[in-house]
Amino acid sequence: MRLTNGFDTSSSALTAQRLRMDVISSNIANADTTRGRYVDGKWVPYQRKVVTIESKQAPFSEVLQGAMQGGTSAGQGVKVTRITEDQAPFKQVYNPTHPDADENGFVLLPNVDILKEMVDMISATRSYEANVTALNASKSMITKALEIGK
Amino acid sequence: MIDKMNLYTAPAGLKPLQQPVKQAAGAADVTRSFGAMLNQAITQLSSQEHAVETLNGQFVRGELSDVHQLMIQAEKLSLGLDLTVQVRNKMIEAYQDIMRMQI
Repeated sequence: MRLTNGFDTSSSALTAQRLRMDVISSNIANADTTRGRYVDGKWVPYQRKVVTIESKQAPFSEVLQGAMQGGTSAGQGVKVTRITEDQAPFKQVYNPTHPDADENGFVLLPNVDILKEMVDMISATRSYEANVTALNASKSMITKALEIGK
Repeated sequence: MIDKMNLYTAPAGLKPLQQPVKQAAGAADVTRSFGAMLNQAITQLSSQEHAVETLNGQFVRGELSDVHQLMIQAEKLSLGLDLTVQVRNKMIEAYQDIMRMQI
């Protein structure tokens, strides 16, 4: 429905931010995971995951319909295109008693920085809130329009 | 599915109401087109309500990961109902104005 097009834009952003939040949670949960993957007979620590968000292109049918009705659709949603692994080097900590320590007593820890994750988390939460606010604003505009002539 | 439903088509249903003035169509035609318009609006609302019910069921069963989808769909339904009710109120008002006219 064209009346509530703005809702779909906000909705896609909310979905994207929720997924971003899930990925951040995973990073925080695995901040000390020394056994993330088993590669060539050796345990590799968990690698920090990063979300890539892209603006969503409207499908051809929608663009065509919009052009035929003489209006261009202003709303453009977002989508998460991929979740990539952070290639930053792992942290090296001297701890000879650790079961995953190498022959020199060093343990590789994930490249997760808790501080960075907390800041990302705040950013995701605020972004979610902003999108809810935008949605409510567009809803109150429609509600106001329905009050015309009352 | 929801996006295809277009309450904007409701005004298109209004056209037959204006045409009978020129063509001097019978009262029965006017009633029919008015009824058809209301019917169309209600059908669209009902399918929107069905979508909300589906999401609601998923939410209750714990299958819905994004709660905002349910809320947004419910909000769309509520706005659609408001719009339909307002349009209906306006039409009834106009009808009553004409009925009250002194002859």
